[in-house]
Amino acid sequence: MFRFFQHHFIPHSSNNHKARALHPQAFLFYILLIFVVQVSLKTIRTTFPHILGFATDISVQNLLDLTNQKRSESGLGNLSLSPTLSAAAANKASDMFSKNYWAHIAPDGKTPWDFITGAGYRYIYAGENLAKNFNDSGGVVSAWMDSPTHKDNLLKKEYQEVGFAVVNGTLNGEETTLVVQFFGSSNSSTAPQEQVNILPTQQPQPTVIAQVLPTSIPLPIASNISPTTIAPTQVIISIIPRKEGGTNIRIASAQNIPLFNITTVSKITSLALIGFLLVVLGVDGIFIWRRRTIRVSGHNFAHMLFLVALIGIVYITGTGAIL
Amino acid sequence: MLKDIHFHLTHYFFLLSILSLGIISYFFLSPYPEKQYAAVIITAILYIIWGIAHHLLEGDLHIKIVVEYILIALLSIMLLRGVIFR
Repeated sequence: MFRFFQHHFIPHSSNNHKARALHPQAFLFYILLIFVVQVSLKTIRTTFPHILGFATDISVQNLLDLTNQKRSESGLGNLSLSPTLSAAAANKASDMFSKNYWAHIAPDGKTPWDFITGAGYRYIYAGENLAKNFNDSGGVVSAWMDSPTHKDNLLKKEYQEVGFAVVNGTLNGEETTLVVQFFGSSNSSTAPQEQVNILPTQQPQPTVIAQVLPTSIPLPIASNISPTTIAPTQVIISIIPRKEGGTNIRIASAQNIPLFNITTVSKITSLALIGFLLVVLGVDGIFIWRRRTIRVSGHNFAHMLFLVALIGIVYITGTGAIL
Repeated sequence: MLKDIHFHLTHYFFLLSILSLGIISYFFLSPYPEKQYAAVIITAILYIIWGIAHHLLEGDLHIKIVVEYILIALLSIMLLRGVIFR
C-alpha cells in the first residue's frame, strides 16, 4: 500500500523522481477520464432529465412578490401584474432566443418599447430589466437590487404595473432561463402622450429618452399574443385569477428541480480533479525542493498557479447575469 | 542569486498577468459562452508559450517539458469545455 502511494504520489527512484500521477501518461488518462465523464453526464441528462438537469425554480408570482416587497421596504406602492406587459415580455424573450442575442436592443434595432407598444400597452413611463442563468426568483431580484441602475428601475415611483416572462431555452449555445421584466405606467386616453423609456445602464442614473409617438400607429391587441405559443422550451404556464376580478392573468414559470443539478455536478467534478492535481503537484514540489533533485520537468509552481486560475474560472461559471 | 530571483520574479509576473487577463476576460464575456471558451483556449495557448519561453531562457528546455505544458493546457480546455457547455 505504501509502495503504491509512494510510486504514484511521491518522487522516488521507482518513478524516475516524479510522482507517477504527474507523468504524461497520467495526464492523458485524466483527459480521457474528463471526456468519459462529460459524455456520461450528457447522456444521463438527456435520458434521465429528472435525475440530472438544470435546476430552475423561478416563478412570476415569486418575482412579483419579491419586487413588491422591495418597493414596500422603500415606501413605494405595489405594482400590479399586467397581462399586456407580460405578453410584451414573453415576446421579447422569444425574440432574444430566436435571434440569439442578450441585449436591451435587438440586432435589428427593435427596442423594448417596440415590444411594449406592440403588445398594445400605451405607456407614459416604461422600463426593462433582464436576467439569465439564475436558479431561483430570490437570486434574480437580489442581483437587480445589487445593481444601482437596475435597483433604480425596480424602485421607480412612477411605475404602476409590471409584466414578467420566464422562459427556458438556448442562448448563445448555453441552456439558460431568461427573465424579462417590463415596467410601465399606462395611459388610458387616446390623445398623444409624451413617453419616457428607462433602461438600466452603467451610469449612476439611468438613461432617459423622451419620445412622442404618433397615435396613428396601429397597435395589436394584447389578448391575441399568447406566451404559450412563443416560449421555446420547458415553460410551465399557469393561470391565476386577477385580484381585481374579471379576466385571468397568464403567468409563466420555469420550474425544473432534478435530483442533481448539472451545474453543481460539473463544477464539483472539475474542482475535485483540480484539487487532486494541486495536492499531488504540491507534495511532489516539496519533495523535489527538499531533496534538491535536478530533473527534466516543468515548474510545479507555475502549474499550480495555472490550476488556481482554473478554480477561479470554474467558480465564476454559470453564475447569473443581469442586463 | 539576485539575478536569478529577478529572472523568476519577472517571468512569474508575466504568468500572473496572463492568468489574470484570462480570468477577467472570462468574467466579462459571461453572457457569451462561445467567447468564454475562446478566452480559455487563448489563455491555455499563452500558458504553453510562457512555459516554452521560460524554460528556453532558463536553458533547460526539453521536449518532455513542452509536452507537459501542452497536456496541462489541454486538460484545462477539456475541463472548462464541460463546465461552460454543460
